[in-house]
Amino acid sequence: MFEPIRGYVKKFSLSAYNRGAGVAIRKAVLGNAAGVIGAAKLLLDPQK
Amino acid sequence: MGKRCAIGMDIGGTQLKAGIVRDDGKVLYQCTAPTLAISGREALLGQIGAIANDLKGTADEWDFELAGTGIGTAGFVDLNGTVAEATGNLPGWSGTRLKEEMESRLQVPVRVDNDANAMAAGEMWLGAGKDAEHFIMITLGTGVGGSIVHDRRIYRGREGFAGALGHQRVVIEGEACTCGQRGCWEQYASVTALRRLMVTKGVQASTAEELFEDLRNGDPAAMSVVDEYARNIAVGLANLIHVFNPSSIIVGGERLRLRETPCSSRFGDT
Repeated sequence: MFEPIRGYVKKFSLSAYNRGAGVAIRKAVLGNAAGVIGAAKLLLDPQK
Repeated sequence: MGKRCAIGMDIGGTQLKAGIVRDDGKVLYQCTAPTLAISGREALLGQIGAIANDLKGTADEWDFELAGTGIGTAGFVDLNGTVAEATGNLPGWSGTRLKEEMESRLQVPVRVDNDANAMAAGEMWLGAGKDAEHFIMITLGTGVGGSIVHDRRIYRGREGFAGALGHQRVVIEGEACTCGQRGCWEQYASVTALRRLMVTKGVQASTAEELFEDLRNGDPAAMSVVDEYARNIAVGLANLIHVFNPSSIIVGGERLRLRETPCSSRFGDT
């Protein structure tokens, strides 16, 4: 799934400005836990 | 370290996820339940309160110091923890003073943020955004959520509503969106949109999982659907790259589901 997305992103952002060059398209690694961890972080580290 | 924790909750249009998180980020317990979205505000508040209270009891039993409860919810959350505008996926949720309601019910500090912002905070802390100064997070689910991280801080805008990336318009006079506009990106890039595309293209698969299985087996119809869906996602990402010049874009959501422990049945039936 990620390879065709990366391919199309490259195609769509390839212009005279070439803004898409070097932008990494990454898969979230925490999956469904990301929202739970991030919400808890609001209390554990309220600076962010 | 290890005796302090917080409850984290993620309220999406379809699923509610909750867990006990230690102060080093380790998830000690996590569960999910179908969100009581269509049952209305009071039912959903009751469900959130029941799950949070149960987890609070567990944290007490384990002798943890509970810092409070953090809630990420779909919708536009203002800087005071009120859901100013809900998405169409959570009818009746608009105007809910979620921080106030939950502090009253749980008697612990509560903080509330948009669900995509909470996911971005999690990925920034321990995941794919650990080393990124500037990144965009998008979540592909019932809708498309977004979060903008600048200098390792979530950019919130004037009222806290920045990051509604799913509502960038990618097709003039396109598909009707739950926001009242037409042609919003989430009408093309969400999992809901993927399912619609599957019906339109007449593929055999009835779920995204089956579709990807068919793709692995070389089914041309599945390839066509995935190709169009990837293109739909990419067109929005290319716009974001031009606007924000990020170092990375992190993509999360239903496609990347982890194995989890189901919540006890009473959570889903509250």
